[in-house]
Amino acid sequence: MKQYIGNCNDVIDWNAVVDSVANSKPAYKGPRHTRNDDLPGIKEISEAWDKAGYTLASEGGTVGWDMCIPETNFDRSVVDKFSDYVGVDVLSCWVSVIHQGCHAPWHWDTQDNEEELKKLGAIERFHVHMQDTRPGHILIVEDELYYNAKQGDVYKWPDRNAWHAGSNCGQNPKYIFNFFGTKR
Amino acid sequence: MKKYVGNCSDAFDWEQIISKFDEQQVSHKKYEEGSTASKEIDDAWAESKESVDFFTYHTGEAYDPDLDKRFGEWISCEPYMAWFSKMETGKSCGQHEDKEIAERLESEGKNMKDFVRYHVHVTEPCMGGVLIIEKDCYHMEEQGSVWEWNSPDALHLGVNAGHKTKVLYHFVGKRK
Repeated sequence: MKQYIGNCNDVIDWNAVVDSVANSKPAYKGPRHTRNDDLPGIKEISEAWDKAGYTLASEGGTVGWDMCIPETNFDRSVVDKFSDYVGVDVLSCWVSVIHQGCHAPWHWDTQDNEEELKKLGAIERFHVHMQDTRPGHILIVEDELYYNAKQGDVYKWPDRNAWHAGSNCGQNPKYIFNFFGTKR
Repeated sequence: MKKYVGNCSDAFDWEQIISKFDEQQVSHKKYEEGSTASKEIDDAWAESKESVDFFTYHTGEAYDPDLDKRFGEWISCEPYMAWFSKMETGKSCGQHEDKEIAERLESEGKNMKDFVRYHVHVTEPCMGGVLIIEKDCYHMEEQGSVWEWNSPDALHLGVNAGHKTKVLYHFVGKRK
């Protein structure tokens, strides 16, 4: 079930964050990991994508997204303000940008330090809709589809490693702010 | 607002029906300039042309039109137009209206308000397979679930970011 936290538009100027991200070169392109990486979940996800017939955008297919991070693509103060808003100390945060016609098929976000994160115990994850949902902007977490959201809407995920997918068959890039950390 | 009609799986074996499609008669639609309702949508599709890709199975060509009669009886409608749409994984179809419906109605001097449209989720629910009609979302709907549209020409879009092919049955008819 969706867990709506609130709207943080009064706390963060999301239009400015979108502008900042849109006018900078992404830190890197997703997916960052390849099927040969020895990380939890990678084999499972890669095999599922292969079986379903997905091809990376870099290889002429439709799978790909931009990854944008604090300081490189947007101001660090955004992270601090959001941390205060949800009362959670950040462990990782990024903006994912899915361009028109691209997909982030069913996956969960494997981290390089997965073993260390497990030792920390409960970790809370959130996402923010950086703009009002526009037609064709799709985000699915487990069996919930997030549509018709307002700019600044904050949702807590059922699990940091929840399976999710994103797509964009709209007319503009789709921006989602992602954040996870430990409760204060 | 979504209008759920019911589930017709007891009356139709959807897996068997789609297994009998004449694959020689399928219409494979990819990006084509000028094929959407507006230049704005056309331009958007042009930016994502790798992803715009779906298949249409027309009645009387790829499948037996008797199915439409049977569905019409189930829903108490006289069939007017019907087809199946199929979307593979990693594909999408941006927001559009099905212009063919309005064009045919107009050419026959008929009023769209006299007609009603339904869709059926033919394949089993799969995470990532999405249909959006205006602002209403259809995701993980039961196989065989039937939904009524606000209008036959309502704006809609489809995405498949899941792991299985998604098939829908579309039916436009006149209430008996």
